Amino acid sequence: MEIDTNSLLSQSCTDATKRRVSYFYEPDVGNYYYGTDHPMKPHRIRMAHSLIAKYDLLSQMRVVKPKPAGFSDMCQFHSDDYMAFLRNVTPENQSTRPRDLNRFNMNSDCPVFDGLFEFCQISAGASIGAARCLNEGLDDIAINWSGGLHHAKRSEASGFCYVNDIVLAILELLKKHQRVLYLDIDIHHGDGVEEAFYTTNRVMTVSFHKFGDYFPGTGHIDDIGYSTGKHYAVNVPLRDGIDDESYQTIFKPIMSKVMQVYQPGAIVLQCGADSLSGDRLGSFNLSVRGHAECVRFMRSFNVPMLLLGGGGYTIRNVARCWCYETAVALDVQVDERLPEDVYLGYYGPAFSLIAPPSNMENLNTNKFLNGIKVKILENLSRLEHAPSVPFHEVENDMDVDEEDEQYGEQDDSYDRHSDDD
Amino acid sequence: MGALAPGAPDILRSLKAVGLCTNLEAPTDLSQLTFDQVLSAFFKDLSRKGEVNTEFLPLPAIIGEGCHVDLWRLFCLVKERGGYRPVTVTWSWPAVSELAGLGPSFGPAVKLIYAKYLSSLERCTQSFPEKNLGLTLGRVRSCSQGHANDHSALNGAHLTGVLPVLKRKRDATIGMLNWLRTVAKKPCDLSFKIEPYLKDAKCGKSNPTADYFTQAVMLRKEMFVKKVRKDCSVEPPKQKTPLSSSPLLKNKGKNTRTSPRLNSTSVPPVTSSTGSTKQRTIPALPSISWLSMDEESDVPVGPNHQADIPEFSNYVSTSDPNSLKYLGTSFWSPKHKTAFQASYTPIVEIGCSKNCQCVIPGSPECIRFHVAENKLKLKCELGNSFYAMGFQKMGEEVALSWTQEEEEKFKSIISANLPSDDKKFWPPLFANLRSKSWKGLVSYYYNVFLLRRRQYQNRAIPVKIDSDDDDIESGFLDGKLGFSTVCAENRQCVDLDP
Repeated sequence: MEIDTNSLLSQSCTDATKRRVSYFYEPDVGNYYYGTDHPMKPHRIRMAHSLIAKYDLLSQMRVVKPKPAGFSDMCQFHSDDYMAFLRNVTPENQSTRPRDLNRFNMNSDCPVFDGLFEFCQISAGASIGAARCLNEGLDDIAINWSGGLHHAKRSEASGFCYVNDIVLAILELLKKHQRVLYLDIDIHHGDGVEEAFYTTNRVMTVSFHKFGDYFPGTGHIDDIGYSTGKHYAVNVPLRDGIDDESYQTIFKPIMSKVMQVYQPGAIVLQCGADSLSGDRLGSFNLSVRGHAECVRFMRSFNVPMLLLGGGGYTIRNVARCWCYETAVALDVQVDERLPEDVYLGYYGPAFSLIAPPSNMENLNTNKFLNGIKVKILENLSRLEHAPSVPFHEVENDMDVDEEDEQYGEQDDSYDRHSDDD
Repeated sequence: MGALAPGAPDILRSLKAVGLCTNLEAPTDLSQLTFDQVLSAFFKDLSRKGEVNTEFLPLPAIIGEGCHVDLWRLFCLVKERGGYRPVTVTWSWPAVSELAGLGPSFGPAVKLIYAKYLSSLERCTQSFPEKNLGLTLGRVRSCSQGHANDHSALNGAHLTGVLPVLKRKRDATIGMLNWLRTVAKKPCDLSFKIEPYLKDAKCGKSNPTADYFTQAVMLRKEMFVKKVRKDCSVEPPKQKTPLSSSPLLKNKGKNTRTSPRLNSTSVPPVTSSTGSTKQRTIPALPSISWLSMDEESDVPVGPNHQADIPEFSNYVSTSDPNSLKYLGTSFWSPKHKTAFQASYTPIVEIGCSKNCQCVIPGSPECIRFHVAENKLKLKCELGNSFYAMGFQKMGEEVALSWTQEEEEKFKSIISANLPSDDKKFWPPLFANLRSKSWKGLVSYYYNVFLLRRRQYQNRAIPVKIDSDDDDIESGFLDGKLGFSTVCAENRQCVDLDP
């Protein structure tokens, strides 16, 4: 893989492109089932795991069985009564609790299924554990493909998500890091995480998503945070059919600017795979390579990073994507031809790791994307810079060509631990 | 469906005026229109526009042990008292609940019902012209059963600041815009002083300049101030971190820009630049909808929404055994790699393409052989971790723990309950295969049944494959589960989804 100009020497390794990676996996996770015709299928995580193993990626990582999150762990964010409800409700007794079902927004999107609470514990436990491993300095990158459930709110389920493992992981990271960056490339707006941190400047939430007559309906470009958190929420609303090239023209300048002005101590990247072409619920046109390019780009900043799963409803593409992104995290080249995996049949008839994009129309014109980019970069330029970066006047930022503002140019002034003072 | 509501036709008319409830036709006899009907149509519109939560609200609303809540009465009672926020701030919910005929103990529950069912409607109807509100209020007063509560803020100061803008006709608004344009051209013109005009207005003297100024301020507020829906508390939660000492906020104390501002007045809103974008459709205020350029945001703020941020201090690595457990149990680490594994190249090639010695390369038996071969190789590499990571429970091997009879039963239950016939096969599977746990059934479904179905599709169906729907092909069910054909895989159909 090409060496990115943003690569910095890791303090743990002399090799600029290698990272210590841990991978959290619960063997039972694939056996949870949301219900007939429900698009969310945890089995996709097992498929990804199998591919990762067959590509010999497991042997290059620390593979960890997560400890299920406890009740009190999840109550660090969620309300007690909501957690108690999740713990006690079953498919058999749910009919006796219609008011609670309504109150906590349990409906056809968020059904009660066998093992619901266990599933939440696994997802949340892995994210919390991964965050703790990063805090302890055991790893540079930690991966949890069963996490990334970004719609869950403090007291209600939403969008197939019940417990917001991302918020719990970020709260863990905030014990060590002054600033944490949350980046969401799922096609749906990361509303649960944004809402949780909407009023604080210690977490910057950035979401690239489809906006307009689409779930969850939030994520307007003018939603920039509130009170102390004003300007620390970034929303990039996009239209159907965005392809790899268009996506990168807006992703890289914005994220370069975010890293420059915010200088987070840790990054949490939600890699929802429903932004891939051909997703059952999505309408973007990204290829696996284009999606993974986001991971590769953020990895190049050499900041402790937590990779999480999320959406993704064409399960063969989800497994491909997360396997490929695991390889990107490890900086390992993998062959496009799939190995003889036990789930090989799912990938027919092409049996390729890279699912190509379609020829759907890209409704994101250059003018439209440029307008978004200009507006967001202008908003970001209003942020106060972290002290290790020389102060720029707000007006001067407007004159600088964004292409020149690559984070790598400020290597000399960047101190990885500047956020710890 | 719900009690008849005298004001329901007015509400419906006003909602239709802003493009809502278009799917509800008012009956010929308007007195038969119920509030629940209006609400139902309103919820459908909101769910279409992205507020999914309203779609599943059951009507009529039930509280306690099955008591029906008269939503129309509740709506009127709260409106009399100024709306959701004033009632919450003064905690008048027990009184409202009692007046609604439910008893004071249901105060919190009534508050929740109002928040779920009626808060969106309240936001929409806040902008309606006084004529409609007056009509509603008049009937509410007559229904209030002589309630002597003076919380009739709706006809008091609460409305004064809102109605003057909304009551104005279009030409009056244009007059205000012309005045504003004049002021903007000469912002430093010392002849413009608003205080004398406002003083005249207070004394009842007619003063168009004061009117224009008031209108302009209200319009600015409506157009540009972001409405952040707040919970009970007024202030956002205080953070535990002493942020005043953090380097990130050294200049925060000097920041006097506390009022919400539109950040991009110089950049046209993205949604208006093309004209064809689907806008986020939120009910707009009728009299200024033609001026509205930005859409409102509705991010809830309050202790019930935001996370409590932990305190930031010097991080100390934990040595507590209980805390260490949360780091997980390591199955495997790179140091476990043996000399043999270290020489193993990460690029994996498909055996069939180069070194396959099978009689029929690409046949089902060939594939099975190489899959098993790879699995054995993995077992050698990982050792005991192979089992800890659950690899022995992946793939068709799962069927080894099932008898032939159980597999046939599984297939027959699915055949009899196809999703294409609008049936669900999981309940009968659970009921008839009690020897298997639900995890065992799900495991068999994905590792054996669905996998074989996909293999059947790859071989037998020269059409677009979608493996992610639960419909089952009849050809697959009619044949033996497994490989009844020996033909090579369908690799030549390049136009199919990978």
